[in-house]
Amino acid sequence: MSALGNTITDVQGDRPAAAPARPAGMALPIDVTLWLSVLGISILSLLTIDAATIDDVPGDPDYFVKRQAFFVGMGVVVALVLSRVDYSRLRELRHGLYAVLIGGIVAVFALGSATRGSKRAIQTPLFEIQFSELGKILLALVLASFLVDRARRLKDRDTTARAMLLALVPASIVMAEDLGSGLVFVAIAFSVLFVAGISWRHLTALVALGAASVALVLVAAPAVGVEVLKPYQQDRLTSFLHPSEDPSDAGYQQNQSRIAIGSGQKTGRGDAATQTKLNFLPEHHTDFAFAVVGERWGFAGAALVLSLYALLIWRALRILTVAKNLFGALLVGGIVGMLLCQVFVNVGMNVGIMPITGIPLPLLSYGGSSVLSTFLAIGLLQSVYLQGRGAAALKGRIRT
Amino acid sequence: MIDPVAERRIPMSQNLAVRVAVLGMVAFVLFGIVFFRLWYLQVLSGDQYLAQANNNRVRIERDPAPRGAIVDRNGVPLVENRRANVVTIAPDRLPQEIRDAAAEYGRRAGLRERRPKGRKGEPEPLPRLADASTQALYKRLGRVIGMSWRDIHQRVVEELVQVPYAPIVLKTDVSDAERNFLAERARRFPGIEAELRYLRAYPHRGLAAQMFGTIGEITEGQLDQERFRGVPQGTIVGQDGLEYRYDRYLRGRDGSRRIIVDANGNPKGIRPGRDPVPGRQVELSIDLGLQTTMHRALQRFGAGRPGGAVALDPATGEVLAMASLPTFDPRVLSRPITQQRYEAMFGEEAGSPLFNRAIGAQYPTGSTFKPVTALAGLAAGKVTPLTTINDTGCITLGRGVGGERCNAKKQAYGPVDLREAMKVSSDIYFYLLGQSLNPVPGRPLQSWAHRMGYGRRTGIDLPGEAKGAVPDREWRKERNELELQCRKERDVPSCGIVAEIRDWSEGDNVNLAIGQGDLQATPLQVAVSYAALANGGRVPRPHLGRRVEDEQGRLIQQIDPGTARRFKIDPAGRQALMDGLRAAASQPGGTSAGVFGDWDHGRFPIFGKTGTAQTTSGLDQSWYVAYAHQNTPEGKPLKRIVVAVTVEKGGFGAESAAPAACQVLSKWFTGKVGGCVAGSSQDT
Repeated sequence: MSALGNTITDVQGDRPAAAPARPAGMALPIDVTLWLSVLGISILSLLTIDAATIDDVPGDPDYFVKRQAFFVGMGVVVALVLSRVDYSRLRELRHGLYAVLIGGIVAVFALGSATRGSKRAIQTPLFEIQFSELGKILLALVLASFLVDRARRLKDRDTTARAMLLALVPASIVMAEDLGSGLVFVAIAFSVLFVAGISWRHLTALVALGAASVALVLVAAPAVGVEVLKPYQQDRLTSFLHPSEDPSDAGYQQNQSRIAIGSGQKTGRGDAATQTKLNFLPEHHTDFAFAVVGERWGFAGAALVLSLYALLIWRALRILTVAKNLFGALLVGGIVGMLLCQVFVNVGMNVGIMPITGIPLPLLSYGGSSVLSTFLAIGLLQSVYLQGRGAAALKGRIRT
Repeated sequence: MIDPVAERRIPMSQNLAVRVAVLGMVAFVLFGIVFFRLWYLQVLSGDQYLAQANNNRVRIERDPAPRGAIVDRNGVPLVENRRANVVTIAPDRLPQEIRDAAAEYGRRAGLRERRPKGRKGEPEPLPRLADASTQALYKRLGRVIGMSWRDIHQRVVEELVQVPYAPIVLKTDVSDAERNFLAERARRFPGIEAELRYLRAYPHRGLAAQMFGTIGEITEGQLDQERFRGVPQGTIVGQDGLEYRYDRYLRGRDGSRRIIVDANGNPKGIRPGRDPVPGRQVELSIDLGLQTTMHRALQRFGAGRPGGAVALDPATGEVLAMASLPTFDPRVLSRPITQQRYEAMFGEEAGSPLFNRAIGAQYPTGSTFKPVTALAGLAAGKVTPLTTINDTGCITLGRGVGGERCNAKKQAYGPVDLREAMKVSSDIYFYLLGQSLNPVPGRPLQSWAHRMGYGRRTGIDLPGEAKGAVPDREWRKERNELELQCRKERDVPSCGIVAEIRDWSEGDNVNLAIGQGDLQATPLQVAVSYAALANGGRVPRPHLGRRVEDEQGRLIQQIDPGTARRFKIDPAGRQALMDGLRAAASQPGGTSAGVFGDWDHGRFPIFGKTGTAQTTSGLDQSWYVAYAHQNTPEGKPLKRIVVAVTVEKGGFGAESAAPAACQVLSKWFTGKVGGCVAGSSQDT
C-alpha cells in the first residue's frame, strides 16, 4: 500500500505492547493519496475552466477561474477542519440534519430562482446556493445514522423500507426540479443500504422497483397521458438515443459534446479547440467540463482525469474498510455511491452513453455548492480515516 | 450518549468484505465502460469527429459572381448588374408540415388549373399557417423588412410549389441596416439569410425585353442537362432569350468564402476560398438608337396592338434591331412577385408580353410573299419579266375553293407586267401565277419558298424560334390526319388543326401565291427572305451575338455567325422584281409611296413591299418589309438594311407597318426620325 501504511506498520512493530504517546494516525493527519487525487482534479478543474471560459465574461477572462479557485481554497480549509472533527458525533445531530435537509430542499422549491427553466438554487446577491449539493452529504449522514440505530435489524424488510422512505422524501422533492440530483439521492441511499448489508433479496427487489418506476415514468405514464416528467426532462433523458441538429435541442448538446471529445483524439487540440472556443459545446464550464478536457487534452487528458477519480474512489473504498465503526463505514459507503454515481453519469453524458441530467462532475465542474459539498465529503472521508487509523493504532491492530 | 453499538469496532466481517468488493467491482466496471468509450471516441474515430468539428465551425458562403453585361454594337450597356440586399428563407428550415401543406396546395391548384375555363371554381385557398413558432418568426421578420406575416406566408407557399428546395426570396432591396440587423441576430431568425446578390438591371426597361430574356435559379431538370454541366445548384442561369443562349459566357462562376462561425452563427473570421469569376460581356449587333426607334415606332403606329419587327444587315445577317410588343418591364421579375400579379402581367389577357413575336409569332404574310411567287413563276418559265396579264380587278377561278377573287377594293390595274404587278401589288397577276404553278411537278412555289427561308428556322441565336409552315399537298394530308386522329382521341367535332378535312386544291396554291391561306411565317423569316433577294440568292444566318468581351470590353472571342446559304437566282428576273419593289415605295401609285413622303429616293433607294393578311379574326394583319441602302458615287451600296414589321390587326400594310418601318429606315440613314406618314393606300 502506501508509504504511510508501511510507516504505521513499522511503528507498530517497534512498540507492540504499549499504546503510543502520539497515535500513529496523527503523525501525518491526512491520507496523502486521497489528497493527491483531490488536488489533482482541482488543479485540472482550474486549467479547464480557464481554457473554457476565456471569452465568456467580457472584460474579465478569469472571472470563473478566480471564483473556482476561491471555492477550492475554501473547500480545502473546510475539509481540513472537518477531518479533525470526530464524525461520529454528527450522528447525535441526525434529527436536526434531516430537518435541515428537508427544510433546505423545500426552501429551494419555494424560493428558488429559475435557471434554464428549473428551480435549483436560492439566489443571493453574491452567489447562488444549490442546496441539493449539500443535501447529498446530509442524506448520507442521516441514512448512516438511521441504519446504525437499527444495526441489529438490518436484514428486516422494515429497515429497508424505512431507509428508502427517508431518502425518497427529499429525493422526490428534488426530482421535481432537478432530476439528476434526485437520482444521486437514490444512488446514495442504495449505496448506504448495500454497504449496511441488507439482504440480497431486498436489494434485488429495490433494483426491480427502480427499473419498474423508470419504465412507468418514461413509457407507461406518457402513453396514458399522465405527465410525470416535464417535457424538457423527458427530452433530455431520451435524446441521447437520437442526436439532433437543432441547437435548442438536448440531442444537439450531446452531439456537440461527443464531437468535442472525439475531435480531441489522442493528445488533444490545445488552443485549436474550436468546439469549446466557438461555443458549440454548451455549458462548457459546468456540465460539459469533461468534454472540454477531452477536446483540449485528448485521450491523455481525459484518461488522467478518470484515473484521478478512480484513485479517489479506490481510496474511499479503502477508508471504508478501516472505519472504526459502522456509522463511519456507512457514511463512506454513501459518499462512494455519491461520487461514483456523479462521475459515471456526468462522464457518461459527456461521451454520449448516458442521458443528460445536469449532474456536475465533482470538483471538475465549476460551481461553489458542488465544490464545497464535495470537499465536505472529502473532509468526512478524512475524518473517518483519521478516526479509524487512531482507533486501530490504539488497539494495535493495524495491518496492511 | 453514543450508542455502544456504534462505538464498538465492527470487525471486517465476511459480509462487509464481499460488499466492498462488489462495490469496487461495480466501480471498476463503470470506469471500464467509460474508458472503453473514450478510447472508441478519441482514438478509434477521432478523425471523423475532428472533421465534424471543423465542419461545424466553417460555413461556406457563396460569393456570387456578377453576370456579364449585354452591350449593343457600340458598347452601350443594354443589360447590367446591380448589387442588392436580398432576404431569403431556407425551405429546409421550415417545419415539415408547412412544406407538406404547400405541396398539397400546389397539387390542388394544379388540378384547378387543368379544369376548363369558366368551370375552375373558387381559387384554391392558401393553407393556413398552423405552426405558431413559424408564425411568430414571420411576424418578427415582417416587422424588420416591412411585410405582413400573411404576405410572407403566401410567398413561401407559392415558392415552395415552384422550386421546393431553393431558398425563397422574400424581399429584395432591403436596406443595409435591415440586412445587418438580421445578420447580427441570426439565432432569432433561424433559416433567414440576408445577403448581397447581383440582380439584373435594365437601363432601358421594356426595350427588347423578350430578346434579352430572363434569368433564374437553375432548375432540377437543368442540372442534368449537358449545357449546364458542372454548374452547382443554386446558380443563377439564363432561362430564356439571349441570357439562355449565351449563358455560358454571361454566367461567370460563383466563388465561395469559408467563414468561421461560432455556435450562434456569428462570424469569427474568414478563410480564403475561391474568388468569383465575373461573367463575360456579350456584345450584340443591336444598335441601341435603331432599337429605340423601332420600339417607339411600333408602339406609335401599332397603337397598342401586338406586333413584331426586325431589322438586319442582309450582308452579314447581323440583327440591328428587334422589337416585340407588348413588352414588359423586366425589373419586375427580379423581385418577388405573387402568382396573381404574375398572371395579370404576363398572362394571355395581358398579351403574353414574354413572347418574342419577332421570332416566335407565325402569321400569314400577305403580299410580302409575292416575290417568292414571282421567282417561282420565272424559274418555272410560266412568266418572263415582260409577260403582261390583264388585271380586270376580279377573277373567277375554275376549280377549288372560293368563287370570285378580287384585288383589294376591286381595283382594276389593266395590263400589268411583273414590275407593275409588284408596284401596285396586283393580286390577279399572282393568283394566275399561283394557279399555273399548281400542276407543275416539283411544287416550284413551295420549293422556292423553302429556298427563300420559309418553313424552316433561320438559325438565329435565340431560343424559341418558330419554324413556320409552307403548305403543300403532303402538308395538307398530314394535317388532315392529325385532325382526324385528334377528333377520334378527344371525341370532339373539330380540333381546329384544319378548318375542314379536304385534299390539297388549286385554291390552296392560289392563296399561297399571295401569302394567304395556311402560310405561316415569322417577321424574321420575312426579313431573311428579302435579304436573300437583295443579296441575289445568298441567305444570311441572322444573329445577335457579335463578340465575347471581358469587363473592360476587350475582345475575347468572336462569335461565329455561321455560314450563309446560297441558291441560284436569275439576274434579269431579280432586277425586274427589285425595280417593282422600288417603284412600290417611290413612284406614284406604288403601295407604300405615300408613306415615305419626301424621302430622298435617289440617295437612299427603298425596295419595299406592303402586306395585308386576312385573318380569321376579320381584322387584317399589317405587314411591311423593305430593303434599302445608301447609294454612293462609286456605285457601291452602303448601310444595307432589311426591315420587316408586322402589326396584329393593324389593317392595311401601309396603315401601320409601313410607317413604322419608314421611321426605322429614316433613323438608320439620316439619324433622325420623321417624315413618315401613315398611309391609307389599299393593298392586299
